Amino acid sequence: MTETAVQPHKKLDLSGEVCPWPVIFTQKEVKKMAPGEVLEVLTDNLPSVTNIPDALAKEGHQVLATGEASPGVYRILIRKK
Amino acid sequence: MENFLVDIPWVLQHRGDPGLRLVDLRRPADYLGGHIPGAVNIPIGEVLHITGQVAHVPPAERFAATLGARGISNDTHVVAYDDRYGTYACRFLYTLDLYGHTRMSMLGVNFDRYQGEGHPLETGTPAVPRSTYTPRTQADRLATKADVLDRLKDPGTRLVDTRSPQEFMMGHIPGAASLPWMSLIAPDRLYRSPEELRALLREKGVTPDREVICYCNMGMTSSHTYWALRQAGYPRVRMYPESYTEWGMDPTTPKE
Repeated sequence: MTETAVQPHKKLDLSGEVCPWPVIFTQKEVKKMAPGEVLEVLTDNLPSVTNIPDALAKEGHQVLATGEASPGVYRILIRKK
Repeated sequence: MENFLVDIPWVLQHRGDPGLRLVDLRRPADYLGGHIPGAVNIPIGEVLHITGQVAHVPPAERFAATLGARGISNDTHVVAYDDRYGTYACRFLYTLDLYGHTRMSMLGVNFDRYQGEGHPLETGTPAVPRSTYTPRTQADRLATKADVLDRLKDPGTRLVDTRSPQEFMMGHIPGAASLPWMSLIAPDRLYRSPEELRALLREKGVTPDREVICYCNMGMTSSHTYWALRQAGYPRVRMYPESYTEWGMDPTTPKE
């Protein structure tokens, strides 16, 4: 199974949100999850495609994948540490 | 900066005034689900011009078209609000200020509070007549990377970094003061009082005799601080919209 085929336990649609909120909302959501669970984040804010993985990786979580889910919408998969 | 922050009773009393336009900066779906009656929606994405990782101000013609489509003209009293502690509304109002608008205010509390107190809501989009907007750029409101480089060793300028202390520790523009934007928020309002703001700013060596340039990552939280400085009576305030995203990616700029 590829990393992008991992079934997320939770999904967070952050379309329409810009800095600093995509990172804040992602961190908040991950805090509520159990270790090992996977969160799928959708964002249409290109800077968040870098900022979210950077911030979450610094907290020790695993960024499984980032990519464009549909034109202009990006998908980030994060596994909680 | 008289009447910049308005409260809920003021909005309820004046929302129907001729020449006043309420602007809701929330996501379109949230806006359509219920907004202050008469408010038009301008999603924050329409107020930004993003290239790669960097958010610039929108070109004047594009911003004028955004305003014109919402019935906003040069003499409209614009009252903005959001549900993001003012960061989206402040960036919108900063852009209005940059393009020469003079009559503007912001709801001084989060929209959640308005909603939570059970005040009137409207769904759908009000019909507003199109208008013409003529931008008159005030270049002294904006700082570019070149402006910041020019002032790095200028004792007459104070740089203010509005990001979190952790982000500041990981790298900032040399000489900048760390003033996290959240420290300017009061428990029940989007800003502390002007007296409290002045005291906080003085503690950081940010005094009104100096020009102040604020920045963050994308010019959002630094817009919130921009309006804190204006409310505190600071006469020379600029905001660096491209902020540390641009500065940090440039291998030639100095970092501390």
